[in-house]
Amino acid sequence: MSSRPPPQFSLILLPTLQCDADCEYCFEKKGAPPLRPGQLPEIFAKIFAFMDERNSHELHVNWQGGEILTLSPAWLEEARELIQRTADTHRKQVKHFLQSNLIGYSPDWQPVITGMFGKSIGSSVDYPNRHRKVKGGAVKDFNSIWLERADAARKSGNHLGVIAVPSADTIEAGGETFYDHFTRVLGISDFQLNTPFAGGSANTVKTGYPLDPERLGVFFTELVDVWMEQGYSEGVRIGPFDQLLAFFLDEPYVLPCIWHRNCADNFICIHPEGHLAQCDCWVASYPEYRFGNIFENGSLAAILGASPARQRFLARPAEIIQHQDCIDCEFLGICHGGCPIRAYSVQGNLYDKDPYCPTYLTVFRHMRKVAARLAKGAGQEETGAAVPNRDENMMEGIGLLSEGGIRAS
Amino acid sequence: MPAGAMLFAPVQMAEKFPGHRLVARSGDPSSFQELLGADGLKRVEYLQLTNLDADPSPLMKWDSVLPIELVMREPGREFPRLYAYARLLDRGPVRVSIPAADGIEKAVKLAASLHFSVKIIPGQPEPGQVEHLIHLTDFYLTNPTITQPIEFFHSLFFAMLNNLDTTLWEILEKEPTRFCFVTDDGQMAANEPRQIPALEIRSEKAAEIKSGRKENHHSPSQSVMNRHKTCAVCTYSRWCRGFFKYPSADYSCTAVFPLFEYLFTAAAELNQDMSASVPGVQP
Repeated sequence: MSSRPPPQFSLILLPTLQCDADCEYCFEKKGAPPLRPGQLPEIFAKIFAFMDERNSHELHVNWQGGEILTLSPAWLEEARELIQRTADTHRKQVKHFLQSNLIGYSPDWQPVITGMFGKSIGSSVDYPNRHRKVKGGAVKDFNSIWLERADAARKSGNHLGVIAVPSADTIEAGGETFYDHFTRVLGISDFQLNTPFAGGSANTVKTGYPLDPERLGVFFTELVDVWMEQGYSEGVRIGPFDQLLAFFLDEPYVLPCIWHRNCADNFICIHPEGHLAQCDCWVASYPEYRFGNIFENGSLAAILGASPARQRFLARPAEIIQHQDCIDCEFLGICHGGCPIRAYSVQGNLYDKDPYCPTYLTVFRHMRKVAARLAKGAGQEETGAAVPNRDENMMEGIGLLSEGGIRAS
Repeated sequence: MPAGAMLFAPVQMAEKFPGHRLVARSGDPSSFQELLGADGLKRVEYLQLTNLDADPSPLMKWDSVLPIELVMREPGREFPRLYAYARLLDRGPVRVSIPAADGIEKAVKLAASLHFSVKIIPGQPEPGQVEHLIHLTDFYLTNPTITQPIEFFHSLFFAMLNNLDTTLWEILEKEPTRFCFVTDDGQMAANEPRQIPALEIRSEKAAEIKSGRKENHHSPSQSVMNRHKTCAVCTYSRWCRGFFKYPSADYSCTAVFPLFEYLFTAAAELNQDMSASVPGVQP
């Protein structure tokens, strides 16, 4: 049976905006003082109460910055304890996820990474690196520093997942070169590609965004083909292609947030000063799109309910479906118009569809074909262009209706 | 009342029919929790919400996982509201019933894309509406992102594929020996009166339900078949059983033949493909 994302709630927590990197495409406006651990019980009590109203029992906390490792291990240890205590009071489950550029990684961090993050680290690196820099350093230094820290982290037994943001030069390099760099040179077997967008304050780098969506789509299909040929059966994972493949193969999948039916249903972001917004792309750079502040009086539900900005986010998919051409798209069910920040960063209109729509279409079609080939190779019947993707109850005839109505499903 | 028959009743009348299985309906999402007692909850098979303009949050806050059917009246206007209801899918099964009316294609596509189950209420469709239904059949059969059934296509296709006698009366929960409808003012009807106003057995059914006695039943479909000679020679009567002759007996069934034919051809093709794929069996 296909699995939809579980009914958990996610928090993108930015406890600090301080960063030891200085990437040219960064969308965050820095400068706020870090959150204090003592503020966390109030924050999480409000979040858990909000989850009660939604019947959500599990919270995923995505620790992002700024850079988390500019805080101290002791800060994180205290935070973890305070959050867990609050969660126990509210009978909630909490899972923590770490996103770090690894520049500040040292063995001192290992107890926190083991105990709080389950020896799993999400990091970021590009190929070719054009825009990531260590603060005060040069682009050329970033990769060597990153690789040194990544090796140290891996030697301590951590799993490393990496996000890469392609540039025009990435497209120029081609899928095979890119794949070779990540898997052979960097030794990465779990990575994900995110599309760049011109968020936050303008600069010359961002004027090149969005990338040419057609060319990016071709690059992605090249990369997928190399991956299928060289790494898929060896256990290499490349997101979001691996999740799309799982979807078309009728296996459990979790699609990235850009393709959720409505990202405003599932998560929220908190700024070091308590500002609330849809995600990290919005909270530090677009004050006019904030939903309020978690430290205001009243429940989180009340704060969000009173926010016109939040209502605009909630309304976005319904607006898109009425005014864009998404309703006629065969992949509506796995896209829903794409990402709001990517749309907004191009036209300044939240209700536009994602400018990478042509890229997504190319990728969806390609992954469907790849899945069909895999299914056929596995001895399953290939039925035309589509791989059947049906929940088990779909094969039960009127089982949905007979004796017990839709409960029977 | 026939054993196992299910009542479609307003939620505020649930307690008036003790011992019967229920589909409880209301236009107010908060009313289900407020009005259904412990006994009612045990007997309810699913809930029908008849007003999609309502705020769904009371249903989200309720810890019940009873299945829900969202009853759409004006698909062309109401379909964007499905996004507001999509979070209900996180708590349990949700189906959307959609009439063959303006906007049906958009409504069905969006509902299916959001992974709702869908029940299309065909009524007596005009040829133009049948075209929409054929487009949707194609969408259902070929779109790789659909994960939930779209009725009545699904069960009809399944019946054709597997040589079963399942009828539209059963698929669409209109079979009067199994499904009974209580109007908003508490009147008992054999089924939704708007759909089957002239069904002869209506009064008998009402008497039965009140008395709890089981009477000799006319088969509604047999009754229809007897009255419409065209049904006796119709290729699709096995699955239709006169369904499209209600509410207006003058309806020309030729309008829906292309839809039956489309499904029948697709089922035959799939059967052929499946036969060809079995090792050692020649097509």
